[in-house]
Amino acid sequence: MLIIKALLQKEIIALQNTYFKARDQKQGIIALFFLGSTTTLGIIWYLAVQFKQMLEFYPVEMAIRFMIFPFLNLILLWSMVSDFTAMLYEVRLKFYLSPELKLLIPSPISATTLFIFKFLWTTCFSAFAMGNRTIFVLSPLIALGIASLAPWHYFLFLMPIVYLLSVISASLGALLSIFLTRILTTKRLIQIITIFGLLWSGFLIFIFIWEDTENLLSLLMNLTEATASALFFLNDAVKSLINIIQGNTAKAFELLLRLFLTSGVILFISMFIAGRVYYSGYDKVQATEGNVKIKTKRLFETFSAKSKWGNLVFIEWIKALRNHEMAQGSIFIVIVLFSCLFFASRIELSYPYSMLIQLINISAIGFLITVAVEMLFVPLNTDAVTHKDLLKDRYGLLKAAPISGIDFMWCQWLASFVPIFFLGGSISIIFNFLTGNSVLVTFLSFAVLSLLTGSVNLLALALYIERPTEQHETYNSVFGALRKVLPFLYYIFALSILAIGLVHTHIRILNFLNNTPEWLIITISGVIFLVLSCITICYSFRLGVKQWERMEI
Amino acid sequence: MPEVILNVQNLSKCYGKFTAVNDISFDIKPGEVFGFLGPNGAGKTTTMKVCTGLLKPTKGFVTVSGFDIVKQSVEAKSQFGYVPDNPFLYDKLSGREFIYFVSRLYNQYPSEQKIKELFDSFEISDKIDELIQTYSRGMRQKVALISALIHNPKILFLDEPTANLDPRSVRLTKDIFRVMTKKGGSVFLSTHVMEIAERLCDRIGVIHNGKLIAYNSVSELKKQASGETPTLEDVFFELTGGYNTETKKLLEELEK
Repeated sequence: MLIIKALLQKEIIALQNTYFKARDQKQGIIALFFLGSTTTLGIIWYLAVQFKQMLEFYPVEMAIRFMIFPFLNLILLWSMVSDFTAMLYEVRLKFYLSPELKLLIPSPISATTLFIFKFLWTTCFSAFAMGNRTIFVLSPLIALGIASLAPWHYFLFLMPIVYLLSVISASLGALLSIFLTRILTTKRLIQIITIFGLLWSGFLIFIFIWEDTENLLSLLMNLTEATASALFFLNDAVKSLINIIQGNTAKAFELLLRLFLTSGVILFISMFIAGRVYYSGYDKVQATEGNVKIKTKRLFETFSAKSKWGNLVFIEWIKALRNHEMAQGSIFIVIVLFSCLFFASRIELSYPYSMLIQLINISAIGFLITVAVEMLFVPLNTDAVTHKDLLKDRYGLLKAAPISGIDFMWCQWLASFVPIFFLGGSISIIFNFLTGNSVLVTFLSFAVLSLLTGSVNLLALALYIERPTEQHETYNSVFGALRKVLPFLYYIFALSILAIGLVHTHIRILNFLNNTPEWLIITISGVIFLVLSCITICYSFRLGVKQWERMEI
Repeated sequence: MPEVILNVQNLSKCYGKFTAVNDISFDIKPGEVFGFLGPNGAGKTTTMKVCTGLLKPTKGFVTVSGFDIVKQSVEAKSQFGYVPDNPFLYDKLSGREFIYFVSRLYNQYPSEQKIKELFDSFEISDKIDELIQTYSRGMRQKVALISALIHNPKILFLDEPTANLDPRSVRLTKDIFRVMTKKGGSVFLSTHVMEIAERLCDRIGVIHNGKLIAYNSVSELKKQASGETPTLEDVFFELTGGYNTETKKLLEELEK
């Protein structure tokens, strides 16, 4: 018991140090969550109001069967799938590759105690389990509650339901990951996930091209119903929420209780089975991860011989690829964007369905942006208190080498922008092709994408290396917060300028522009966007160069 | 060839109100090994970081081969190789890839054979194509040393270079210093190993609480110390204030 207490205290103190002692990080995280949640909630609120108007046209039973039931199913299923896949990799890091294991495993703690603690902490209590997974799906569910005029306890039930589902998917993900560890290396695991992701995307494209609208609708309905009946816990969660909306609180509570018991049983069974195989897998991981042979030697030599710049860019890609970051990031973006494409392309369906799909689409995009921002601009827990060390590891070598600020900024920017450019560009072209847009529209959307991702990338890079000259662990708190949310704000603002121009051609938002021709409005918003992007690019580049020259390691 | 390779003049470095390095001046001549000694936290690493451009001086200036480290940083940095106490290496590159990468940073294109020879010299050629994350601390130190030597620098900055090395590699490192200095290169060496400082260094600087309290050749420093045949350790101990009362008490108690 004392050991469990000590382990728990260690985790809590580490969290405290991360979130409360590193002042700027705390402010930044709060600001980011506040801004991200408010923006997403605002958009969803607006759609929910329209969704509500649509609901009023249909009999209650029909609305529940055809709109609320698939909506809840899809949102919760999507959340569970993302938890499950995230755990496949998270468990690798926490259970096999974490440096703290080198301290804990040789210490006099029973192996079972250590495993149980780590399993429970990772699946149930860590910041990853509590925050990252539950908060993002709450806003669309809150919006549905508002739209359906749900009683107040609907909102009370949301948190435990989402949390319990997350515990179930995390437990199953952890169990699978621990099993797979005995068979596969981390690299092979990521490759398999990538192949599955690509197959899934291919499946979506196949359906999109070959199936007609009616078949797609029935497919969607069948899919949600089949999922709900196969995953009984998901069915319990959805029915519990529907029962509250319908006013059957007792039934809803009974289902919640059942969900609670189910999650407990799945958690303990997963933990029991995983515990049996964990340590043999641990030995295997230590042996395989410590003996990695390189197969890209020739490729590196050929490429790096060209120039200092090419060398610097290529080295970043090699590091990212070998860290599996790029593969993970790319596959994640591809899967989510293709899913969004699939839903977005159905907007021409009958109006209530299109609203439903838009709702799902917006929450998916909201999630994507929040996750992307979180990954890019908020360092992980352990990193938050060691930002100085991060800079040292990342830039120490380059800082002592004869590289000018201009060279540095170009190389770092190109390293991150080129993959985004090709990935985003391909998706943009496919999207335009599938939706039958003209060559001009395709070109314009490609240009917007390039300018937007290029400028936000550069701004984020310049702000990342920004540091005061004193070697303090914390920044000025306001600056710290701004540093993290500024690229996010800029992204939304720049896109909004274009969106306002486009929307205004259909809905006259600003009265004083009522008589202005459409082409002029679009041109004005386009020019403002262009100028804003160019200013951001120039300013960020100069700021980055200045910060590189000022940077102390 | 310039008269001095490294010139440090009135250098101070402050972190807020704390002064880590306080108005120090010294220089290193071509062909010279300069030893920089001091207790933990005295300001050795800070001085070395300012000299290599990792930190900005609060006051004073540093030139490397006549180039100001702040105003002409790219030119100045081309002149030296640097091995910090905890070397900056990329875990996800192999030893060979890392050396290729570093040499390109200095616009160098070393032959495959030269790289192989360097790895052979440090007895790590069997690991040349494995990821650096799999290397031991000593092997990482060796790769860092190779990367600092690959572009034939005029001066080497080494912070505790022998800390994690096996005796054969320590010997090799010492021999490399000798060869380098014979060819007109210089070494700025920070170490806690008095034997290395005494045997290798032409001149010694002792820093304590941010101030340079001694700066001379080993033989001259020894003359300043008390005792019949003082070692460099005795000199260092005396200069840095000897034991305080508490330590003396502790030693007495341990003796009992």
